[in-house]
Amino acid sequence: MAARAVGLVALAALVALPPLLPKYFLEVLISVLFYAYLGESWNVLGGYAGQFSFGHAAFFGIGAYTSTLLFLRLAVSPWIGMVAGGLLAAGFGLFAGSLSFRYGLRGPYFSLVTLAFAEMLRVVAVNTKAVGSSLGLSIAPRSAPALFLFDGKLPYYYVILAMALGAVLLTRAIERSKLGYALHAVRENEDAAEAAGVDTLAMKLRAMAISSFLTALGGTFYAQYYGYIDPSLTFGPAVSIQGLLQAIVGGAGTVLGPFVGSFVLTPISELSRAALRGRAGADVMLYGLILVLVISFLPHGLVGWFRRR
Amino acid sequence: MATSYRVSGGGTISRRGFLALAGAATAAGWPAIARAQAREVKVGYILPMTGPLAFEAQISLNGVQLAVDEINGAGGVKSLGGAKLTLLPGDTQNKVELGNSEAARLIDQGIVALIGPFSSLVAYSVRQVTEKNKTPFLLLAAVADNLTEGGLRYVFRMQPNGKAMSTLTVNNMLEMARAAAVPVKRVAMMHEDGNFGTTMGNHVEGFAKASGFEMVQRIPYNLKSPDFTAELSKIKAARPDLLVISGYYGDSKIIAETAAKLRIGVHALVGLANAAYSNPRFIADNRELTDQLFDGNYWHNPQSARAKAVFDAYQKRFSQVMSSHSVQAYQVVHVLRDALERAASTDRDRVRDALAKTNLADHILPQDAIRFDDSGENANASPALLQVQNGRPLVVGPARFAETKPVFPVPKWKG
Repeated sequence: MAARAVGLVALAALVALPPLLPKYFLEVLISVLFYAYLGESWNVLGGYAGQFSFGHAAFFGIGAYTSTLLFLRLAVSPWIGMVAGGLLAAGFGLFAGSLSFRYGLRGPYFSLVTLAFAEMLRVVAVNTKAVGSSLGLSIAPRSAPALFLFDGKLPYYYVILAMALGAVLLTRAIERSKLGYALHAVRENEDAAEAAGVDTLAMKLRAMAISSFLTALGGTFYAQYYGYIDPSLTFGPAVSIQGLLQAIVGGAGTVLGPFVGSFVLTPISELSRAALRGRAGADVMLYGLILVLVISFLPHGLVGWFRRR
Repeated sequence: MATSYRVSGGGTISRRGFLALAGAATAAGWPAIARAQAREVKVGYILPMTGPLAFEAQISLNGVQLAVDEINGAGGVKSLGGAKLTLLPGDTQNKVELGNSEAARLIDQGIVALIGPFSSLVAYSVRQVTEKNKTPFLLLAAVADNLTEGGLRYVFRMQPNGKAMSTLTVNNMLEMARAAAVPVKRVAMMHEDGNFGTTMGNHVEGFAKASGFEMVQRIPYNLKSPDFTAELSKIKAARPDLLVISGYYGDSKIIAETAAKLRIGVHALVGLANAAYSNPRFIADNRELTDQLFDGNYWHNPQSARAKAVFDAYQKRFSQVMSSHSVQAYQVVHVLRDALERAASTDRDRVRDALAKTNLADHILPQDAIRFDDSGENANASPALLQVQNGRPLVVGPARFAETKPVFPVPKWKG
């Protein structure tokens, strides 16, 4: 009950406070929620199904490029392009997943294959003139809510807040569903799950499809919010790592893990920068040190640590 | 590197819960700072101070710092009662989201203008932040052509963009070839396959026909390639008159070395905004290789007495030769000072209007007066054509800024 009350207060604060915040805090809060969202999306596959993808940038990039190309070339609203990108990414996820799962790739081998898929798409994007090659694609800023373009940051904040909360609710629903239990079984011991009659391939593919769909929506948000995408920003390894970092630090395989992770990591990074401003590099070292400490002393993430106490 | 710069607003942070701290900072600190009407003009910069571009960022910051101290030492902004410029730092780590949040933070702190951010990909989204908050944004080093597109009012770019850089460099080369009565009909180009190299490659290819040469080979390459023998063999087989190279430090070095080894057989190797070929450090480390290389790049005006004085001051303070990045950074601060003097106000809109009316003849660049067109581009922006001679990059074009005669064709590249 207490937890529920804390949650409601936090939610109320997230909804009511932002209009009062200075620009800087709003900007930081948007990136916190954005990473929380990416973490939640990764969590479905990486946390619940235990399939550590290092290549979620592939889905992110597909989402960003699909909606942006549809918008720039065919004037399709990115709200629609977003769903198209999600479906395309889910399709690609199923393709990549069935290839790797069918051939029994597990653990680090699966991680490496996903990394390769993302890299492959990056190279294709760099060398394809029709999608802008390395010059990328830019969306000129203007105010057109029907086209997912807003005047000012606040509307973007509420969009990403809704997306992040939606991802949390979906994750909770999955956790309590049959799929959730099956994924849990796969994660703990895939052979035992198979022996107990769980269709592990189908379950993993389902997790893959959901996870890639959600990640692609994040790609569209990124394109609309920052107004510029290029192959390395969207298909680059940094995107893949950002998503899984939040989940791992917060607690992979828990509903709120990525959320908590993002709300801790981004402020730490911002504060270490504020504290060490002007001493270039010192803040990154401090941030890295904190990451090392968290991962070595809290192997189950912050949420896991709370639960154990 | 013995640099120290003032950090305002920073200081140490006591150990409290970070959320509490963050909250306190909002409630107490920043609005107060923003309101303070002290005799100072806050100028923010955002640069990739950490990460792969840290070296270039530091050099740029040196230039900014030199100009700020020079202005303050000479009595600050006169029309504002001698108000001093205060620099507020921002580090982007070359990341888009940090560029945005750092820009927003500096705007919250009450800067009159923002300088930066070095890379075009960060500039794309930061310009939305500055535009929305009506803050003049003086681009530094970001060359992507379309950064000033879209009817933006607050973005200004003093240096040549990608188009000016490539068009004028190739024109300078062709003019020089005509003067030497050596025809240039076939051009080959190698460029890195990122935004910068691709922009340059597209332009050179784009105006080949109009300029009367044929693009016989165009090879984009990955920066991390360890070897360019295959690419350069292909280029040699195409028998070009010129080989144009847009790349960064390591790759440009390997390309020049391999071209020498293969006896590439061109009239000249020409860098286009090349990060190595006119870089004093690269030249000092590779004396024989770099001799008589050309490069079209941002530069200063070697005929200007003022440039000489600035170079001496820079050398004295930072114990290194002033590079083109610091020249741009130095000059952009003076463009802002000029606008502040005329605006006689720290109101961002007035400063913007003053910037738009800039007509600054007293500068150290190889161009006519600095003026901004309606899109915010410097209408007279121009790169210089350089050639390395006796271990020094010297201006050989455009003719009115030249400090020496070019050696063209270059005998050593002739197969």
